[in-house]
Amino acid sequence: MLQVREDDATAFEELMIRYQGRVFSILRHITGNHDLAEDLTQDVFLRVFRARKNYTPGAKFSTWLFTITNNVAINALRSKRRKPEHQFIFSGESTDSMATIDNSVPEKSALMPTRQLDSQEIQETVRMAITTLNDNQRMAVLLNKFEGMNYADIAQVMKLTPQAVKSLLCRARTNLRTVLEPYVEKGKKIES
Amino acid sequence: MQKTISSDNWDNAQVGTWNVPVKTELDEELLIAYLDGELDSQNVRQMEDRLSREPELREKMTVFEQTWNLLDSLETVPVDKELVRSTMEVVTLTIEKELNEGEKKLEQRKIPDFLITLAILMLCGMIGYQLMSLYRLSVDRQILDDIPIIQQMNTYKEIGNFDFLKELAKERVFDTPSTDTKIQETLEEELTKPVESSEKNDTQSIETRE
Repeated sequence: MLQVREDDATAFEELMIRYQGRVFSILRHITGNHDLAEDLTQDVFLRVFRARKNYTPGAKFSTWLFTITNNVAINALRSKRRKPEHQFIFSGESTDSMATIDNSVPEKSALMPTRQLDSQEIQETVRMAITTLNDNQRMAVLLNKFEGMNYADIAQVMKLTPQAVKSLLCRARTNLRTVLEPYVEKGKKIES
Repeated sequence: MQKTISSDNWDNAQVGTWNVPVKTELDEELLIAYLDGELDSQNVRQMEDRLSREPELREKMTVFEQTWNLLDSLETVPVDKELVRSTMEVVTLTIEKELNEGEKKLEQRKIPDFLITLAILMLCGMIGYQLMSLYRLSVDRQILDDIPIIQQMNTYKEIGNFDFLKELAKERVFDTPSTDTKIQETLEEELTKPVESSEKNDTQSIETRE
């Protein structure tokens, strides 16, 4: 990043290759839209480049990068919500989304109660379970699960206190447990 | 349901006695923090102690772990390689734009810089001119002040004794109309003289003609 700060384009390209997948993955889970996630990923790196001079040497780059990612995601979700015709299918409050997931995936799977869920079904179920979380919970879960960030780093990225992150992750994981527990149980039954 | 007091945090949850239900939310928060490795060593020991004694808590932890592990099944969609290329293109365009803007700003700044330099030079020139004028004025004034002395310089040289002049001054010899006035009077006399003589000459010539 220090080389990028000195306007080294090659270093920036390397940085992008290294982190692009991770940023894209987070944004894809947040927005639930592949194309939008690509556009936002591009926006994130453009912002990184524009803000290169503000980068403080010694600061953890990933934390800085995901702070920008979080800001971009928040802005994108806000602007999307202002345009109802483009609203995300699974965005919204967790209770509503839980009702959606309760009515969709279980229905599909209930038709095949004795069969173990295949990987694609599990993926879809988990993806839908993630969409039941609100934006903050989702971001905290993604950073914790896929970026392996501790509470302090997540707090820095999301401009919260570590205690708030602790509570946020607790609520998120409780929600996920509520949604996913039947599938875990089902898997057990199938295995037995 | 039997619960134990195993940490200060749990005191806050009013788990002070046996057979008192715990605050589930706080329990879960601690359990998740334990799973995430975010508890300090003391709390870790207390949690492990509780887990060894409380099957319900163990069960809860297992479900949390299992549901959390389900997230690993999420597919990882590879990023389109074109995205790196297109982002680099956008970045290159941004750099070019920034450079052009920077050059434009520099050009825009060149004019004011030139004007500022010109203004400073003009100001310096004006100050210099004023100073020179003041100097000249002071020199001229000195000469003007010295004119009476210069005019009488030959007389003063003839006297050649400064003490004698002082004596004359004491005796108020110089308390007569000033030399300037005398000079003025002399000049006036001189001016009138030629006019009279020319008039005389004129009358003489007329008389001769006649």
